[in-house]
Amino acid sequence: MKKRSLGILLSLIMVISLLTGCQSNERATEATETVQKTEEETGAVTSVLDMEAYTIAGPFPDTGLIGFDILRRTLELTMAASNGTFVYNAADLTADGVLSFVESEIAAGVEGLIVTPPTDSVLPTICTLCEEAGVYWGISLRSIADEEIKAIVEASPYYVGNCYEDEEETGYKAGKWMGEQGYKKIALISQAKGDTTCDAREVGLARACEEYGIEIVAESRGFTQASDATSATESFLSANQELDAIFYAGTAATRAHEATVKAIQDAGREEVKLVTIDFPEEMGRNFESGIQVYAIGLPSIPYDCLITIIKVINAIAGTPINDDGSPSSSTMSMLEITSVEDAFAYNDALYAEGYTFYDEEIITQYLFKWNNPDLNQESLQAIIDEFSPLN
Amino acid sequence: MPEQIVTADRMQGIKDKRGKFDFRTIFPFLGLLFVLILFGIMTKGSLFSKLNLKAVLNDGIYVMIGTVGFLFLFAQGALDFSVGANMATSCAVAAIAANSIGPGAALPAALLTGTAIGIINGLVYTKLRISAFITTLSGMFILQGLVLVILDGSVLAAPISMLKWFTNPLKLTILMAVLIIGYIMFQYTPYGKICKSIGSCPEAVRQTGINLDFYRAIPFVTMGLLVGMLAFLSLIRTGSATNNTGGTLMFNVLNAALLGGLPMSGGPTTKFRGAIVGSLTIAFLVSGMTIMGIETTDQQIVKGIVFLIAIGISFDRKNMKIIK
Amino acid sequence: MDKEEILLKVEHMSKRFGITKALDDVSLELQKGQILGLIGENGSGKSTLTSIIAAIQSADVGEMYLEGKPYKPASSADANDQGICMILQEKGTFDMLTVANNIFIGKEELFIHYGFLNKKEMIAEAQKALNKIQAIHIDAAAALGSLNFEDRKLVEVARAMQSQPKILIVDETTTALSRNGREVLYGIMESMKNEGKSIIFISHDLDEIMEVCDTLMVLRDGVYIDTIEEGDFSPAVIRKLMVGREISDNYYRTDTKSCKSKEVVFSMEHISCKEVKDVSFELHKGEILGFGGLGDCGMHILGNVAFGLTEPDIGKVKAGTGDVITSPKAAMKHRIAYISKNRDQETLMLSSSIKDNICIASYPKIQKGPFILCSDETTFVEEWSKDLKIKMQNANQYVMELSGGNKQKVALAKWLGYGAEIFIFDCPTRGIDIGVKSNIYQLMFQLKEEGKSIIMISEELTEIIGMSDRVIILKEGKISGEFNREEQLSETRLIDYMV
Repeated sequence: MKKRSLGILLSLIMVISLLTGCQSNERATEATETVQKTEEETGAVTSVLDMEAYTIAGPFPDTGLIGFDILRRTLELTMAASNGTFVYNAADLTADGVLSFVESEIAAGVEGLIVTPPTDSVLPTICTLCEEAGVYWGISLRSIADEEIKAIVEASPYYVGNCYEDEEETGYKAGKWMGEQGYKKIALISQAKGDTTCDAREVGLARACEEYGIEIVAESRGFTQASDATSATESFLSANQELDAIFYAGTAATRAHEATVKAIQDAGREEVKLVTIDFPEEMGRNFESGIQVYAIGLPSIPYDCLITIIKVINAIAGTPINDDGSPSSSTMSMLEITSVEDAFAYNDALYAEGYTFYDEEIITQYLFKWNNPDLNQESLQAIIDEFSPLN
Repeated sequence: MPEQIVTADRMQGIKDKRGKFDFRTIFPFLGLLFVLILFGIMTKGSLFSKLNLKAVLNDGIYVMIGTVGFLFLFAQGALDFSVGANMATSCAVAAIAANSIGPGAALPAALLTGTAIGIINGLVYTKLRISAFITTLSGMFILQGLVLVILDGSVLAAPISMLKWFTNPLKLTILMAVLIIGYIMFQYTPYGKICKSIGSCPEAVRQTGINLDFYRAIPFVTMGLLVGMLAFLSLIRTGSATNNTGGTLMFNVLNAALLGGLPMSGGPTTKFRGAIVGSLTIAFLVSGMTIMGIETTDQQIVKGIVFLIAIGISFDRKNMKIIK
Repeated sequence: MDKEEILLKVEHMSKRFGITKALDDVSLELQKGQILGLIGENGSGKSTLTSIIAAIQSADVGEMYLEGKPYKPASSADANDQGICMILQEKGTFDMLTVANNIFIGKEELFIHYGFLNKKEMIAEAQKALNKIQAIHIDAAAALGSLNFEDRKLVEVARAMQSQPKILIVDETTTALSRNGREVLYGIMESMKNEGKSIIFISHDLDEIMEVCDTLMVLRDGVYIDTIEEGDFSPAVIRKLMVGREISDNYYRTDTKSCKSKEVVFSMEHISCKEVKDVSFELHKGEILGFGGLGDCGMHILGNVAFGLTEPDIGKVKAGTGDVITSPKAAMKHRIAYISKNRDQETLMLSSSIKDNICIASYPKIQKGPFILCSDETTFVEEWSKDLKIKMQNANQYVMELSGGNKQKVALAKWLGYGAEIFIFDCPTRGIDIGVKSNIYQLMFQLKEEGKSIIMISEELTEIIGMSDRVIILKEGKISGEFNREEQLSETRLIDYMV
């Protein structure tokens, strides 16, 4: 008897949580209501096109890192202004997971999809699935390496293109800067081999190192927490009396950079500098301490997701970025920060309350092609190039 | 326990069985029905659309086959944590074989690798007498590292021509074959019965002259074989082997096992249908939530609650009554 | 009888479980300084009665009075506080805790001063409690898990006695205790008696009950049957009251000849293993060879080794053909069967069905190709359970639901179905009702008549004397005596060889 009541009670809880979940995520209907409200409030931005309600799904969470929060807020504006709904489906990141994501979202009836494929080989399947369903899709955070697959995918009218950052170039830029400063010996901190992002960055770094004669004297990989950074830094320092900098190609541990700064200070070795790809949380303070001298990173990773989403929206609206409907490729350039002022300004901008990549006016006026017929691959790239939280 | 209480409890238990109204046996079906009806309604039927059923099959085939393999382990009260990493390793080897020898070598390579890992698991478990928990957990870590070495990075693509092998007839044939063979083996062969008996009382099995070590090791081998099959399926579905392949297999199979009412303590009450019902339930549950657009974080909460319900109800009181 | 003399009074107590009447209008009077034995078969209600007195469950109808005042305990802790403690047959201790923790479980506040638990004090008090019951060899600071089964029981006893109960209920506790342990318990009971406190004692062992108790109360099927005073104790009378019918004199075997053939079907040569030191013997066809001795004399290990379960340090186990047996599988090849004394933990799979238990030894026989069909299993079960008259609902019933005697029959059915010719029985009738016991003895005799051979290891001397063709007594791991059936054996004579 007891077990029966327990089972029933818990089942009820499940139903209730489902219903509440359902409420906050009703597609279409909610979006339409919001649109009507917005129009009444701002009383102006009329769309040339009457967009039918649509849904786009993307494989990322709606919160977690500051970048995702910013993306969510920006998407709220974007969707509201175009009668759309965005579904966050941060399912698993394996190749199988991506395919399941695509299949289930198509079955759920979306009009557009963003994917971040861990491997190129899933793309032909995704391409076929989307074509059969008439769903527009784009790639964010990646580019297609395999030529054969690239040809197949780009031939599809439903593929809108991608937006990605050149990780290799980023690694090279950072290495180049260090070379120009005259660094000769650095310690490398990165993720485990197999992490495509870091792998690419290291390739670029290696190129610069060779060019400038920089030697990587020590390595540590795969931190999961800040204390890992502290121990690694301490061993780097004690094992190497001549060290110019500690270089972060990338890490998943929160506040690892800050731990390194502290470890350097505690050891009294302030001549060892911190150079990072990706911006630390306390970048301003790091720079202030004099230890961090250079950082190169994305203004914020999910920005490129936004760009891909914009492409998909335009395609759904019937006004694709390229007039002939061919896919457009856009690159995010990495922002280089080398001064304390910039460091603070950057963080202040990013963490400002309600910060979004663009405000509603800019989105509707410049990013919706039906309002801005001049929008195409080149002009879009120009907009992207101009983007910086420092502005 | 005072004799009288036990006798009376037995009477109640006997009556329960006669009326067949044992909540615990019915719960898995109720669960599945509940999920199907609830989500069928809330998704306005798109849960059962052709597209979605295909999606459910593609996703669910891994869980179903994995759970069938798990049954034999579960029945003994054992677990295998290395299945995900095994799948990744087998997939990697298959990809290499496909690239260097030819696409036809992928399937044998995957099956052989998976089985080999299973054999190692079984040997370590029985010969070195290390608990299944530790054996397979360590195996998981070792394999996760091994995959990176084998792949020399994180991804290895297989010949694109293999992608077209992932057809419905193939999937369904493999699935049906596994289900049918698994069912027969579990219910109607000495192997299946002995697995359940080991879960009930290993010492009694030993004192019946049965080679306990052999029957304890074999399920790991069969699990490995099935994982090899899954690795092959993943390879022809996604076209690559990655170090992440199979990353969610373990968790999903555990979910399915519990939702299917498979008792954690193992034993003779482990029912085959639990594997099927459980996998279907989890597959449709996730599918339904996705169609409804429920946030992944909320999905986790729901999954967690369902997990708890299933554990609470499926915990086999009978096996716990015996003081071992 | 003086009102003040009566410590506990139970009036018109009834209890139902579903449709079963566990107790039907039962009344009881326990005097001060009395050791009252409660006897009855399984299902007689004796355990229900004592568990109600100890407040583990409550009665549907009935009143209880403790020292003249109404006694309505709210919980077993409440019963403890009022001076009634109970110790059971099953495990009541916690392996993970120390002995001291176990003794004072639930009463830790006694040692909490200023918010801290004074462990030293608790251990000292625990040791006192242990010493008081003559269990000085147990270290109060030791982890409970490090003690053997008997010492754990003694810890439970110490726990019960620590609260200085007025009434101690001993429910089948002695079954698993050695002679030593039992002496400890009897000692406690004597001193309680001298202090005017009382015991309610339940045991299956008739001899023990008659020896220890002043008065016996017999229950059958939940109903009070009769009370017998010390002077009128007699096994036959008691058995008759318990079962309700004449148990014929043919309880054990009736013949007095030790007939055996010359053919040796099994032998053990110079076996040394743990407590066993250089034991050798031969088993003949059609012989019932009984092994007796104190609990730790090594006879149980001998049985284990005989079946190939444990490898002896020295010596060989041989089948009649001369082949050496080194594993259960090899033993079974020579048609040897073994039922351990821990039948619930080692011979039977309690949470499996009767069908599974009976068939598991014979899959090669039952299977058709690689498959085992349900119908074949059912036929097999029917064939081998029919003659044994196993009381069950159907073959799919879980073995744990059966009574002790029927469980033993299931184990027997398994081996008969297998086709065993040589049987090693360790404590074959332990914890089994009288009625079923006689069944089993008849069966053993029948097997003998069919030319099968039996090794019977038992701590019940009467049954060894009653059933064996030949008796071997072990003492401290060595054979101290060997006797034939003709010699008109008596317990007292054999005990001499045991101690």
